[in-house]
Amino acid sequence: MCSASGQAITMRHRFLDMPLLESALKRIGEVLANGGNRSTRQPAKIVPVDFGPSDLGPIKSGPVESRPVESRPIELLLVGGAAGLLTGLLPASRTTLDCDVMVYAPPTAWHEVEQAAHAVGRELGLPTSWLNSVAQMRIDSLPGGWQDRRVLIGKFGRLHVWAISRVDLIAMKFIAHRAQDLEDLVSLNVKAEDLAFVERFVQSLRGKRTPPQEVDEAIEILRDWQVIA
Amino acid sequence: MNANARGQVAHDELIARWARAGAGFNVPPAPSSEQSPDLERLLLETARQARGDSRVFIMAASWLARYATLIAKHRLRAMIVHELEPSHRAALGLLLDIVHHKLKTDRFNGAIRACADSIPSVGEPLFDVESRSEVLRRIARDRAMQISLRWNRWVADFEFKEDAIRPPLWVMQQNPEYVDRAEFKGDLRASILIEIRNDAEAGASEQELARRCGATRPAVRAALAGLELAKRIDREHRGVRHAAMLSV
Repeated sequence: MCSASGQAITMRHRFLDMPLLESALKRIGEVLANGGNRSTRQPAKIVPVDFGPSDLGPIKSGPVESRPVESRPIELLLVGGAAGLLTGLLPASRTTLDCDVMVYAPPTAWHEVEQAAHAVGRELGLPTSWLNSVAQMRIDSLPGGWQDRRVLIGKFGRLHVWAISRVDLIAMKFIAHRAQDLEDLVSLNVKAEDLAFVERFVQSLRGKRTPPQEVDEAIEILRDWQVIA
Repeated sequence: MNANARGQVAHDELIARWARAGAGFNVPPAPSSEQSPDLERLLLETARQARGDSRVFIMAASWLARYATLIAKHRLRAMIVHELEPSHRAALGLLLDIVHHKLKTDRFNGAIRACADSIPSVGEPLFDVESRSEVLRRIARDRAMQISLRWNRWVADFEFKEDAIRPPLWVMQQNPEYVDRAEFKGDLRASILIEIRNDAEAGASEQELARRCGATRPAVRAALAGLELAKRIDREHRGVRHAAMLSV
């Protein structure tokens, strides 16, 4: 249906719930398997971050590298609310999902994934920003060793989707410490050992890209947090 | 059912009603067999429950940023005065003031003034989770947006979640009762139609409508004349009164 001005009018506007998110990720895998979206759209102004060899996890090994580029796995790491919901750590009745992606591996894959996500978003009637890669700018807000703790959500063809672990989610929530993050932390039932782990990590952020005030506040909140036995 | 369970039920109902109005919560919307959410009452209930769920507050602001014209502003002001407990008025005033400032709209001025009579004397975080300790309270104070300091209910700045609000076609298809609101852009005529639809007794006299809508009698009389010309209501003399009822 079109308006008089030619602007498309559609009733298809869907929010991401968990089944739809899984369908959308699966569909991205199918699009990538078919050679991806070949549009000439230019990439957004996000500079891929070189995460260093230690962050690349399973795809750094030899046999994978020897495959043609088009057949190599692409790994996504979901963070934030989507990760919490898909792993069952956060209650399902939250607001609609943004699907924040922090790490693409290989780092150059982000454009290919974003193009596929745009195509899938149009197909499924999702908001344009449903797969949001802005979070990759803050790679230093993940504790080291996250790749050993991450949780596999699913392998959809070449697309391998992971979510950060509970303790990494807790760490990110303490660093952000907005009201909604604090509410999530209450839901996550933070334990004493979580606090110790997260404080070590937050201390390690000093002198890096995270603003010193955020680090100081996060540590204050960590030390003040009431653990419910 | 204990107080916690009752609170959870009330919260779930609030979220379901917002979902029906077009806010993107991961819950089934309130069923279509029920009347569309009464938007002014929904705002009052949001103010009552905002302390316990920051996302409801942010989503309500995001919804208002898109659909402010659906709010019957006279009715909202009157309901604040007659129904909303003073302890919750600052939360609603802040919500409306945030939308007022970000959209540069004066639509809610009357309602904001009605809330401003009840600004608490002592500042504190709006959200309970930030009142759990002195550390959290101090950080909430440091991060609070300027408007929220004026309301003595501290909230950090946030962006409207535009992608989480349903488009107009969806909202109007799910809620055909909102057509009057849209047609009259939430002005006094919308308030009058909503009141008469909700309770036929509301139209018993201009005085009663003026009370319920928080407007003067001359303003109500002028609005009724417009509605009658538009064939939206019929009027009849009942003794010394002029009663108004919806046109069939």
